[in-house]
Amino acid sequence: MSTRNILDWLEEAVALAPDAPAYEMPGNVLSWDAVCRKARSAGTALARLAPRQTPVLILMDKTPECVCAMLGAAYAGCFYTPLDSGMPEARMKRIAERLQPSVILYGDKYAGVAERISGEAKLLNAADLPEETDLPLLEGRRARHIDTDLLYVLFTSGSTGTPKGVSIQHRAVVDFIEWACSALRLPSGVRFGSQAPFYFDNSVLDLYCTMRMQGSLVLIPRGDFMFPKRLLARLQEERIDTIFWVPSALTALARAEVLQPGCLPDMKRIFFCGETMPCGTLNGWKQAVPGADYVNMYGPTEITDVCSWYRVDRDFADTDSLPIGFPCTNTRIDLIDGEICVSGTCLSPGYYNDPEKTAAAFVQHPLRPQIPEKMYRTGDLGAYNDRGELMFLGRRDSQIKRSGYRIELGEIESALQNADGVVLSCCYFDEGKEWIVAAYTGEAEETAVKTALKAALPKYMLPDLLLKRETLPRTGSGKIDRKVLRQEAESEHLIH
Amino acid sequence: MDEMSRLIAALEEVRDDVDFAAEAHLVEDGILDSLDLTRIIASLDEAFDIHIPAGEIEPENFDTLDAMLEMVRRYRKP
Repeated sequence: MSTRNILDWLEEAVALAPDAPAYEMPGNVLSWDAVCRKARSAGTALARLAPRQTPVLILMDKTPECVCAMLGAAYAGCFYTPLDSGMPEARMKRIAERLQPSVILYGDKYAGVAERISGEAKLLNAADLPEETDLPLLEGRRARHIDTDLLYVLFTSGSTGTPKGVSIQHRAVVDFIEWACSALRLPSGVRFGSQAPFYFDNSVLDLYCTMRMQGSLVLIPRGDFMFPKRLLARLQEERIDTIFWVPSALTALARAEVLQPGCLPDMKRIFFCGETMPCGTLNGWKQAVPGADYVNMYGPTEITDVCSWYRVDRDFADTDSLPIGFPCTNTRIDLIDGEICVSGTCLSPGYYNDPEKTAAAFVQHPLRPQIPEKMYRTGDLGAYNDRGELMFLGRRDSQIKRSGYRIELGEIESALQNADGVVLSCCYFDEGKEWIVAAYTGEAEETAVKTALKAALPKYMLPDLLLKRETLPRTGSGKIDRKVLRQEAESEHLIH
Repeated sequence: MDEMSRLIAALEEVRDDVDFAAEAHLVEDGILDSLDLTRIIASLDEAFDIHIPAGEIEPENFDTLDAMLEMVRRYRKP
């Protein structure tokens, strides 16, 4: 029987490799059997509190237990939203208001914040999950499952200041993971080293390819990524053979000059997605790990992590651009006025509880007018090279990527606008320096504006330079002109 | 301004909400994250005209104010 629910893979892993390590971090290894037991007990507790197909907000650190909580939501027939515990409470609250979770499942140290953002939601402390499993309850939920049920909702920056909740169905994840395991030639027992946070969709590949192949996923402590030597030692000690990281994490390690030929004898597969991969970084890695498979992937959260891929099959100069290649199975990519447009099984059915934004981004496929078929407009620009490979050319709007994080400059401007004493605001991104530069007019003092921004935005969105101006430049149509602001800032030698 | 004051000023440009003098485990306690660290290194590079090689970025060098001062002195041109 074909897979309809990601839990089918979990149960297969339990049958085939019950005692093998599944999800682990240093000092805390859970076997497939343990993962399944913990997921079922979380599912039991959740099913007692939450109706089928309602949202479960998860506020926990990145631990094996957090994975069990997410899978527990699936056992209860619900869907999960892992939240970045580091984001400001005001933003968490806006997400909770949009999501209207039936339950907030939280780690002990987030009890206060969970309570404050809870609204109508019921609260469940992860430390209070029962040991027992009510199998008939879970089987009842499972019997009603269909593959268009939601598995998760991940929130991403929204241009008007409110994050958008991308909802993803089981069938999209099943389709994606079956493609990934075969296209990426993953062996059973694959050993992944995880970099992506669970609230970032690259983690979907990590989590479910591991499950599908009865492998293991080492949750690398976040702090390791700050220290190249420590990170390298972790990859060596844990004998990681596969990584799927944002290019900035790979670049940091390559630039630190700690990679030496032969330094990672176990490493077989190096995959990347989430932002443009510089060929200089790729070449640095290829020198150190020459035998590995290198695959560049591309895709926004709305199409389930990845919609196109390119296996590196030739050499590139440091200054070349790497192709994003070809569509995945069951995925169609059309270039419409140069914009990358995606349709197929991978598509999100829409932004959760947000019909307006859904209608704007998920549109009727213009080349298939005879039947209703949705197409997602990525906002990314693309073109084909001479070899017929798709190339990524940039954005058509003001969305940026910094350290792999997707940021709408509009969300930063909206936070500025909401600060007391700010009249007008504008931001731009300096790609060379990786700086967000923000300017505003009004009475407000810079320190007060900075404090207001910190309370509203996650750290990776905070401007690196804040300018108080008398006026802001305008375009002919009266919009604030980011390009002219940039020229002004650069000509005044504020940026050099 | 003495070296210590310049160091504190450079650090406060990155994080004005941290009392750097009072903390003994800035990294190990998770007070500083990777974004902070990147910015601190850039800020120190600029304030002291030094270059801290990325391979030498070790937690011990960033855990306390004294450790950072010592590191800055190591990398200052003679």
